Amino acid sequence: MAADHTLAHSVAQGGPSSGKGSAAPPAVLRLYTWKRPTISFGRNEPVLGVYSPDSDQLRNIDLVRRPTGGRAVLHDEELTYAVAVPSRALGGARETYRVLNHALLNAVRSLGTVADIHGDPNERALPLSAGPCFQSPAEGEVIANGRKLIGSAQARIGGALLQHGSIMISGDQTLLSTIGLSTSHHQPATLSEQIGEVDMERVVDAVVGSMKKCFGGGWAEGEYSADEKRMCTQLVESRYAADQWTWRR
Amino acid sequence: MSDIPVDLYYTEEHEYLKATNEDGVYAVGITDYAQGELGDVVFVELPDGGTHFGQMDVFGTIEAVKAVSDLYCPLEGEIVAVNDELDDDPSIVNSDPYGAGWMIKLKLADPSEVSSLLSADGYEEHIG
Repeated sequence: MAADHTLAHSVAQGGPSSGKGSAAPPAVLRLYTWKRPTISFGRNEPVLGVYSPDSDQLRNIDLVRRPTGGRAVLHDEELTYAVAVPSRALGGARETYRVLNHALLNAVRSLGTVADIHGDPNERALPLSAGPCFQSPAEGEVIANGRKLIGSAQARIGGALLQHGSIMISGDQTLLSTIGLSTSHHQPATLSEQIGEVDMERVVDAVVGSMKKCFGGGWAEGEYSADEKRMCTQLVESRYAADQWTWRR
Repeated sequence: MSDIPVDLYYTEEHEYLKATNEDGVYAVGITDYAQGELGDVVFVELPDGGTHFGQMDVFGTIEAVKAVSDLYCPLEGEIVAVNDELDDDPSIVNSDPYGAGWMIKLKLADPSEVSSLLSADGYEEHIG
C-alpha cells in the first residue's frame, strides 16, 4: 500500500524516478504478489464491529487499509496491479477507470478467458457496508460468467490518480464472509477456472503488453529512488502499519 | 453540460465557495462537474466544527463508487458548520451539489481573498 501510495505521489510531483538519473516517466505500472495472505479494507470502509482483529482465523493473515476506496479483499492467489497517472492524463477518474479496465480486459482475454465488462450504467453504487469487494461487481469492472474476475479501486493522491486491484488467479474469498457479517459466500471468477493451469509470467506479460498498447510511448523498468524508499518507509510507519489507520472506523 | 453558477467562486480542484447570509462565511462543496466525474457518492468524511485550515489544506475526503478524493479548503479559515446530513445520505452531493449538498461553512480569515479564486468563466475554461 505504501509503495503504491509513494508511486502515485511521485507521479503527482512530476514523475517517479527511474533510479538511474534519467528522465522521469509520467506514469507507472507496478505488478506484485503477496508474501502472506492479507486482507485489505477500503479507505473508508466501516470494519469496526464487522471484522474482529482477535479472530483465530486471522492469526496467519495480515491486515491493512488501502488508500483507495471500495470494500474488503483477501489478497492471496492473485496478481495485484497498480497504475499511477496524472489525474487528467486519461480524462479524469471515470475515464481512467474505463480505459484501464479495458486494458485489463484485453489482457485476460489474450490469455483465453471469456471475460467482459460489467455494464449497467443505471445501477446504483452499493454502500461501503455492503460486504466484501468480490461479492458483487460494480459497473465497469472485469467479470467472467457474471462474477468479478478483477476488482479495482482508485484514489486521487495530489495531482495523480492511483488505481490498483486484484486479478484473481485462484483466490477464494470465503474467509471474508466467514469472519465478517456477510452471509453470502459468493465467489469471484478466477483465471484458473477459466483457463486451467495459470503461468504467472504469462499473466504478467499479458498485463504489461496490454498496458503498453493502451498507453503507447516508451517503457522502462524502474527502481525506487532514495526519496521514494524514504517516503515508503515513513508511510508504513505513520499509516499503513498503524492500528489507528487500519481500524480507523 | 455541467452547471456552473456565475455567483460562486471555484478552485482548480473542483471545490466551490458560495456566500451565505453571514458576513465572511461561505459554504464549501464540490462542483456539479466534480460530482458527475465521481459518480454515485457513497461517503463524505468532514472535520469537526471549530477546526482551522490553511488554503488548500485537506479538510476531508469523498468516496464515490470506489474512487477516493481529498477535499481541499479553498481559502484559509475556520469551520463554523458541518453538513451532518451527508452522514446519512451522501448522495445529496450528487443531487444538489450547490444547495443541500454543501459540506462545510467556512469563516474566512481574509474575505478579500475570494477574488484570487476562479470565476465561473475561469472554472469553465479550466474543465474544458
